[in-house]
Amino acid sequence: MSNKYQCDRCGEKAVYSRRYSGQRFCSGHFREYVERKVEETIKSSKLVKRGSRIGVALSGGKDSLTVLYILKGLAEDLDLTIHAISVDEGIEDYREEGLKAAEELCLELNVPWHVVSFKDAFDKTLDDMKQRGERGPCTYCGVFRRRLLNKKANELELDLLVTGHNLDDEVQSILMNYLRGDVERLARLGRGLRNEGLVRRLKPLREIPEREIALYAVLSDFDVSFDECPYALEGFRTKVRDFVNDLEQDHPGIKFSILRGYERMLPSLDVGSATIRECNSCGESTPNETCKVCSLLSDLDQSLK
Amino acid sequence: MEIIVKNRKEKKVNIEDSSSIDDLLKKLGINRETVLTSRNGVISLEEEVLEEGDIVEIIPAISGG
Repeated sequence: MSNKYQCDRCGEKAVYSRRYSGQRFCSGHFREYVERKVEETIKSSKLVKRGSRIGVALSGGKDSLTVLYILKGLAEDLDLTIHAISVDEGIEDYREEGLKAAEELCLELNVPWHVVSFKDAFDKTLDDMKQRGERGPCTYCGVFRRRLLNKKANELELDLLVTGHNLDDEVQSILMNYLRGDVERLARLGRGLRNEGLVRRLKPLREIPEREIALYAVLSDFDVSFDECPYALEGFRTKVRDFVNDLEQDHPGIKFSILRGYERMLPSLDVGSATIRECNSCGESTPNETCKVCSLLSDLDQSLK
Repeated sequence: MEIIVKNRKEKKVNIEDSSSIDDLLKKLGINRETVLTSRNGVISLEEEVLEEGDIVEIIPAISGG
Protein backbone atom coordinates (compact mmCIF):
# COMPACT_ATOMS: atom_id res chain seq x y z
CA MET A 1 0.00 0.00 0.00
CA SER A 2 1.52 3.26 -1.10
CA ASN A 3 2.04 6.03 1.33
CA LYS A 4 1.33 8.85 -1.05
CA TYR A 5 -1.24 10.50 1.16
CA GLN A 6 1.02 11.70 3.92
CA CYS A 7 0.83 13.96 6.92
CA ASP A 8 2.65 17.23 6.20
CA ARG A 9 4.36 17.10 9.56
CA CYS A 10 5.46 13.53 9.99
CA GLY A 11 4.86 11.48 6.85
CA GLU A 12 2.43 9.08 8.51
CA LYS A 13 -0.73 8.22 6.60
CA ALA A 14 -2.98 11.25 6.37
CA VAL A 15 -6.58 10.92 7.46
CA TYR A 16 -7.67 14.46 6.79
CA SER A 17 -6.94 17.16 4.30
CA ARG A 18 -8.13 20.71 4.63
CA ARG A 19 -9.34 21.88 1.24
CA TYR A 20 -8.84 25.60 1.49
CA SER A 21 -5.25 25.31 2.67
CA GLY A 22 -4.15 21.97 1.27
CA GLN A 23 -2.79 20.83 4.64
CA ARG A 24 -2.79 17.12 5.39
CA PHE A 25 -2.86 15.57 8.84
CA CYS A 26 -2.33 12.14 10.29
CA SER A 27 -4.59 11.07 13.13
CA GLY A 28 -2.21 12.18 15.88
CA HIS A 29 -1.42 15.60 14.41
CA PHE A 30 -5.04 16.22 13.56
CA ARG A 31 -6.14 15.64 17.13
CA GLU A 32 -3.33 17.79 18.36
CA TYR A 33 -4.41 20.57 16.02
CA VAL A 34 -7.98 20.47 17.32
CA GLU A 35 -6.87 20.45 20.94
CA ARG A 36 -4.58 23.40 20.42
CA LYS A 37 -7.28 25.33 18.60
CA VAL A 38 -9.66 24.77 21.50
CA GLU A 39 -7.04 25.93 23.97
CA GLU A 40 -6.40 29.08 21.91
CA THR A 41 -10.09 29.91 21.74
CA ILE A 42 -10.42 29.46 25.49
CA LYS A 43 -7.37 31.62 26.22
CA SER A 44 -8.41 34.44 23.92
CA SER A 45 -11.84 34.60 25.52
CA LYS A 46 -10.16 35.58 28.78
CA LEU A 47 -13.04 33.96 30.62
CA VAL A 48 -11.21 31.02 32.12
CA LYS A 49 -8.92 31.61 35.08
CA ARG A 50 -7.13 29.32 37.49
CA GLY A 51 -9.68 27.75 39.75
CA SER A 52 -12.68 28.51 37.49
CA ARG A 53 -15.78 26.40 38.05
CA ILE A 54 -17.01 25.33 34.65
CA GLY A 55 -20.18 23.56 33.55
CA VAL A 56 -20.31 21.70 30.26
CA ALA A 57 -23.68 21.37 28.59
CA LEU A 58 -23.47 17.71 27.62
CA SER A 59 -26.00 16.46 25.12
CA GLY A 60 -23.97 13.33 24.40
CA GLY A 61 -23.51 14.30 20.78
CA LYS A 62 -20.12 14.51 19.12
CA ASP A 63 -19.59 18.21 19.88
CA SER A 64 -20.30 18.21 23.59
CA LEU A 65 -18.40 14.96 24.15
CA THR A 66 -15.42 16.46 22.35
CA VAL A 67 -15.44 19.73 24.26
CA LEU A 68 -15.76 17.94 27.60
CA TYR A 69 -12.92 15.60 26.76
CA ILE A 70 -10.55 18.36 25.69
CA LEU A 71 -11.51 20.66 28.54
CA LYS A 72 -10.90 17.89 31.04
CA GLY A 73 -7.46 17.50 29.52
CA LEU A 74 -6.72 21.13 30.40
CA ALA A 75 -8.31 20.98 33.83
CA GLU A 76 -5.34 19.88 35.87
CA ASP A 77 -2.95 22.52 34.55
CA LEU A 78 -5.45 25.30 35.12
CA ASP A 79 -6.90 23.89 38.32
CA LEU A 80 -10.43 23.84 36.91
CA THR A 81 -13.50 22.28 38.48
CA ILE A 82 -15.69 20.72 35.84
CA HIS A 83 -19.32 19.61 36.05
CA ALA A 84 -21.36 18.10 33.22
CA ILE A 85 -25.04 18.96 32.84
CA SER A 86 -27.34 17.04 30.52
CA VAL A 87 -30.86 18.12 29.66
CA ASP A 88 -33.37 15.37 29.04
CA GLU A 89 -36.09 16.79 26.82
CA GLY A 90 -37.73 13.41 26.68
CA ILE A 91 -37.36 12.99 22.93
CA GLU A 92 -37.97 9.30 22.55
CA ASP A 93 -34.98 7.17 21.48
CA TYR A 94 -32.82 10.09 20.38
CA ARG A 95 -32.18 11.56 23.80
CA GLU A 96 -31.69 8.17 25.45
CA GLU A 97 -28.71 7.46 23.19
CA GLY A 98 -27.16 10.80 23.97
CA LEU A 99 -27.58 10.37 27.71
CA LYS A 100 -25.91 6.98 27.56
CA ALA A 101 -22.88 8.38 25.78
CA ALA A 102 -22.81 11.33 28.20
CA GLU A 103 -22.87 9.11 31.26
CA GLU A 104 -20.17 6.86 29.86
CA LEU A 105 -17.73 9.67 29.18
CA CYS A 106 -18.36 11.31 32.56
CA LEU A 107 -17.57 8.04 34.29
CA GLU A 108 -14.45 7.60 32.23
CA LEU A 109 -13.24 11.14 32.91
CA ASN A 110 -14.43 11.20 36.50
CA VAL A 111 -16.58 14.28 35.95
CA PRO A 112 -19.70 14.80 38.10
CA TRP A 113 -22.79 14.36 35.91
CA HIS A 114 -26.12 16.12 36.49
CA VAL A 115 -29.32 15.46 34.55
CA VAL A 116 -32.23 17.88 34.44
CA SER A 117 -35.43 16.86 32.72
CA PHE A 118 -38.30 18.62 30.99
CA LYS A 119 -40.68 16.14 32.54
CA ASP A 120 -39.58 17.03 36.05
CA ALA A 121 -39.41 20.76 35.48
CA PHE A 122 -42.44 21.34 33.28
CA ASP A 123 -44.44 18.17 33.68
CA LYS A 124 -44.26 17.62 29.90
CA THR A 125 -41.69 16.13 27.54
CA LEU A 126 -40.81 17.86 24.29
CA ASP A 127 -42.83 15.20 22.47
CA ASP A 128 -45.86 16.29 24.58
CA MET A 129 -45.19 19.96 23.84
CA LYS A 130 -44.92 19.36 20.14
CA GLN A 131 -48.33 17.71 20.16
CA ARG A 132 -50.09 20.33 22.24
CA GLY A 133 -48.35 23.53 21.25
CA GLU A 134 -48.68 25.76 18.23
CA ARG A 135 -44.99 26.59 17.90
CA GLY A 136 -42.37 24.39 16.33
CA PRO A 137 -40.60 22.00 18.70
CA CYS A 138 -37.27 23.80 18.26
CA THR A 139 -38.76 26.95 19.78
CA TYR A 140 -39.77 25.21 22.99
CA CYS A 141 -36.62 23.13 23.10
CA GLY A 142 -34.17 26.03 22.84
CA VAL A 143 -35.91 28.28 25.35
CA PHE A 144 -36.53 25.61 27.98
CA ARG A 145 -33.14 24.00 27.64
CA ARG A 146 -31.40 27.32 28.20
CA ARG A 147 -33.48 27.96 31.29
CA LEU A 148 -32.78 24.54 32.80
CA LEU A 149 -29.05 24.75 32.06
CA ASN A 150 -28.87 28.17 33.59
CA LYS A 151 -30.77 27.17 36.71
CA LYS A 152 -28.51 24.19 37.32
CA ALA A 153 -25.40 26.23 36.66
CA ASN A 154 -26.49 28.78 39.25
CA GLU A 155 -27.29 26.04 41.73
CA LEU A 156 -23.79 24.63 41.30
CA GLU A 157 -22.30 28.14 41.55
CA LEU A 158 -20.52 27.86 38.24
CA ASP A 159 -18.57 30.73 36.69
CA LEU A 160 -19.04 29.61 33.12
CA LEU A 161 -21.18 27.38 30.96
CA VAL A 162 -19.38 25.72 28.07
CA THR A 163 -21.31 24.47 25.07
CA GLY A 164 -20.21 22.46 22.05
CA HIS A 165 -21.31 24.97 19.39
CA ASN A 166 -19.01 24.59 16.41
CA LEU A 167 -18.19 26.80 13.41
CA ASP A 168 -21.15 25.47 11.45
CA ASP A 169 -23.53 26.29 14.32
CA GLU A 170 -22.15 29.83 14.60
CA VAL A 171 -22.34 30.47 10.86
CA GLN A 172 -25.89 29.13 10.71
CA SER A 173 -26.93 31.39 13.60
CA ILE A 174 -25.33 34.41 11.99
CA LEU A 175 -27.13 33.79 8.71
CA MET A 176 -30.46 32.90 10.34
CA ASN A 177 -30.50 36.12 12.31
CA TYR A 178 -29.44 38.16 9.32
CA LEU A 179 -32.04 36.58 7.05
CA ARG A 180 -34.76 37.24 9.61
CA GLY A 181 -33.61 40.80 10.04
CA ASP A 182 -33.04 40.23 13.75
CA VAL A 183 -30.19 42.67 14.19
CA GLU A 184 -30.49 42.68 17.95
CA ARG A 185 -29.93 38.98 18.22
CA LEU A 186 -27.15 39.24 15.70
CA ALA A 187 -25.42 41.72 17.96
CA ARG A 188 -25.99 39.68 21.11
CA LEU A 189 -24.64 36.51 19.45
CA GLY A 190 -21.17 37.93 19.17
CA ARG A 191 -20.93 39.88 22.34
CA GLY A 192 -22.23 37.31 24.75
CA LEU A 193 -24.22 40.08 26.37
CA ARG A 194 -26.02 38.63 29.23
CA ASN A 195 -28.72 39.64 31.57
CA GLU A 196 -28.13 39.33 35.26
CA GLY A 197 -28.66 35.86 36.55
CA LEU A 198 -27.55 34.28 33.29
CA VAL A 199 -24.31 32.36 33.57
CA ARG A 200 -21.64 33.48 31.12
CA ARG A 201 -21.26 31.24 28.07
CA LEU A 202 -18.18 30.04 26.25
CA LYS A 203 -18.03 28.13 22.97
CA PRO A 204 -14.52 26.68 22.66
CA LEU A 205 -15.32 24.85 19.40
CA ARG A 206 -16.70 27.87 17.57
CA GLU A 207 -13.85 28.11 15.07
CA ILE A 208 -13.76 24.43 14.24
CA PRO A 209 -15.89 23.06 11.37
CA GLU A 210 -18.45 20.44 12.31
CA ARG A 211 -16.87 17.87 10.07
CA GLU A 212 -13.56 18.20 11.93
CA ILE A 213 -15.32 17.65 15.24
CA ALA A 214 -16.95 14.52 13.80
CA LEU A 215 -13.53 13.28 12.77
CA TYR A 216 -12.08 14.04 16.20
CA ALA A 217 -14.91 12.08 17.82
CA VAL A 218 -14.37 9.10 15.53
CA LEU A 219 -10.60 9.11 16.02
CA SER A 220 -11.05 9.38 19.81
CA ASP A 221 -13.41 6.39 19.80
CA PHE A 222 -16.27 8.15 21.54
CA ASP A 223 -19.34 5.99 21.64
CA VAL A 224 -21.32 8.59 19.77
CA SER A 225 -24.35 8.18 17.58
CA PHE A 226 -24.63 10.39 14.51
CA ASP A 227 -28.40 10.33 14.45
CA GLU A 228 -30.24 13.58 13.90
CA CYS A 229 -32.88 14.93 16.20
CA PRO A 230 -36.18 13.71 14.75
CA TYR A 231 -37.47 17.29 14.83
CA ALA A 232 -34.45 18.81 13.10
CA LEU A 233 -35.84 18.58 9.60
CA GLU A 234 -38.71 20.85 10.51
CA GLY A 235 -36.51 23.79 11.32
CA PHE A 236 -35.36 26.84 9.43
CA ARG A 237 -31.85 26.07 10.63
CA THR A 238 -31.72 22.89 8.54
CA LYS A 239 -32.47 24.85 5.38
CA VAL A 240 -29.70 27.31 6.21
CA ARG A 241 -27.34 24.48 7.09
CA ASP A 242 -27.87 22.78 3.73
CA PHE A 243 -27.42 26.07 1.93
CA VAL A 244 -24.12 26.84 3.66
CA ASN A 245 -22.79 23.34 3.05
CA ASP A 246 -23.61 23.64 -0.64
CA LEU A 247 -21.68 26.90 -0.74
CA GLU A 248 -18.72 25.47 1.14
CA GLN A 249 -18.46 22.55 -1.25
CA ASP A 250 -17.88 24.85 -4.18
CA HIS A 251 -16.21 27.70 -2.28
CA PRO A 252 -14.00 26.11 0.39
CA GLY A 253 -13.36 28.43 3.31
CA ILE A 254 -16.57 30.39 3.02
CA LYS A 255 -17.73 29.40 6.48
CA PHE A 256 -14.67 31.11 7.92
CA SER A 257 -15.25 34.18 5.78
CA ILE A 258 -18.76 34.45 7.13
CA LEU A 259 -17.51 34.26 10.70
CA ARG A 260 -14.66 36.71 10.20
CA GLY A 261 -16.84 39.17 8.32
CA TYR A 262 -19.38 39.03 11.10
CA GLU A 263 -16.72 39.67 13.75
CA ARG A 264 -15.54 42.75 11.87
CA MET A 265 -19.09 44.01 11.52
CA LEU A 266 -19.90 43.52 15.19
CA PRO A 267 -18.47 46.78 16.59
CA SER A 268 -20.74 48.70 14.24
CA LEU A 269 -23.89 46.95 15.31
CA ASP A 270 -25.88 49.07 17.69
CA VAL A 271 -27.42 46.85 20.26
CA GLY A 272 -29.54 49.41 21.97
CA SER A 273 -30.27 48.84 25.61
CA ALA A 274 -33.27 47.07 26.93
CA THR A 275 -34.35 47.61 30.50
CA ILE A 276 -34.14 44.38 32.36
CA ARG A 277 -37.11 43.58 34.52
CA GLU A 278 -38.36 40.66 36.53
CA CYS A 279 -40.82 38.27 34.97
CA ASN A 280 -44.25 38.88 36.48
CA SER A 281 -44.72 35.14 36.76
CA CYS A 282 -41.44 33.60 37.91
CA GLY A 283 -39.11 36.47 38.74
CA GLU A 284 -36.36 35.60 36.27
CA SER A 285 -34.69 38.42 34.30
CA THR A 286 -36.41 39.45 31.09
CA PRO A 287 -36.69 42.54 28.88
CA ASN A 288 -40.42 41.87 28.67
CA GLU A 289 -43.19 41.73 31.23
CA THR A 290 -43.32 37.97 31.12
CA CYS A 291 -40.25 35.90 30.33
CA LYS A 292 -40.14 33.66 27.29
CA VAL A 293 -40.33 30.49 29.35
CA CYS A 294 -43.48 31.54 31.16
CA SER A 295 -45.17 32.87 28.04
CA LEU A 296 -44.51 29.62 26.16
CA LEU A 297 -45.69 27.58 29.15
CA SER A 298 -48.91 29.52 29.38
CA ASP A 299 -49.49 29.05 25.62
CA LEU A 300 -49.08 25.30 26.13
CA ASP A 301 -51.45 25.19 29.06
CA GLN A 302 -54.05 27.19 27.21
CA SER A 303 -53.98 24.90 24.21
CA LEU A 304 -54.88 22.02 26.47
CA LYS A 305 -58.22 23.59 27.29
CA MET B 1 -14.50 -0.95 -11.81
CA GLU B 2 -16.79 -2.18 -9.08
CA ILE B 3 -16.62 -1.09 -5.46
CA ILE B 4 -18.83 -1.58 -2.42
CA VAL B 5 -20.43 1.40 -0.70
CA LYS B 6 -21.76 1.22 2.87
CA ASN B 7 -24.12 4.06 3.64
CA ARG B 8 -26.73 2.74 6.05
CA LYS B 9 -26.97 -0.26 3.76
CA GLU B 10 -24.45 -1.90 1.52
CA LYS B 11 -24.55 -1.73 -2.23
CA LYS B 12 -22.29 -2.38 -5.16
CA VAL B 13 -21.43 0.65 -7.23
CA ASN B 14 -19.91 0.77 -10.68
CA ILE B 15 -17.51 3.59 -11.21
CA GLU B 16 -14.83 4.60 -13.71
CA ASP B 17 -11.32 3.31 -13.17
CA SER B 18 -9.04 5.68 -11.28
CA SER B 19 -11.97 7.44 -9.64
CA SER B 20 -11.31 9.09 -6.33
CA ILE B 21 -13.57 9.06 -3.31
CA ASP B 22 -14.43 12.62 -4.27
CA ASP B 23 -15.63 11.39 -7.67
CA LEU B 24 -17.67 8.70 -5.94
CA LEU B 25 -19.37 11.23 -3.67
CA LYS B 26 -20.20 13.42 -6.66
CA LYS B 27 -21.64 10.42 -8.45
CA LEU B 28 -23.79 9.58 -5.43
CA GLY B 29 -24.88 13.20 -5.05
CA ILE B 30 -23.39 13.49 -1.56
CA ASN B 31 -21.90 16.75 -0.37
CA ARG B 32 -18.43 15.99 0.99
CA GLU B 33 -18.90 18.65 3.69
CA THR B 34 -21.53 16.50 5.34
CA VAL B 35 -19.69 13.18 5.57
CA LEU B 36 -16.53 11.39 6.60
CA THR B 37 -15.36 8.44 4.56
CA SER B 38 -13.36 5.35 5.27
CA ARG B 39 -11.73 3.11 2.74
CA ASN B 40 -11.35 -0.53 3.70
CA GLY B 41 -11.86 0.35 7.33
CA VAL B 42 -9.43 3.26 7.52
CA ILE B 43 -10.48 6.91 7.55
CA SER B 44 -9.45 8.30 4.20
CA LEU B 45 -8.83 11.49 2.29
CA GLU B 46 -11.37 12.32 -0.38
CA GLU B 47 -8.62 12.59 -2.97
CA GLU B 48 -7.62 8.95 -2.53
CA VAL B 49 -7.93 6.95 -5.72
CA LEU B 50 -10.06 3.83 -5.44
CA GLU B 51 -9.25 0.31 -6.57
CA GLU B 52 -11.44 -2.58 -7.67
CA GLY B 53 -13.23 -4.20 -4.74
CA ASP B 54 -12.60 -1.37 -2.26
CA ILE B 55 -15.16 -1.00 0.51
CA VAL B 56 -16.08 2.61 1.14
CA GLU B 57 -18.06 3.51 4.23
CA ILE B 58 -19.86 6.83 4.36
CA ILE B 59 -20.27 8.25 7.84
CA PRO B 60 -22.60 11.21 8.42
CA ALA B 61 -20.70 14.09 9.95
CA ILE B 62 -23.56 16.40 10.76
CA SER B 63 -25.75 15.75 13.73
CA GLY B 64 -26.79 17.27 16.99
CA GLY B 65 -23.89 18.32 19.18
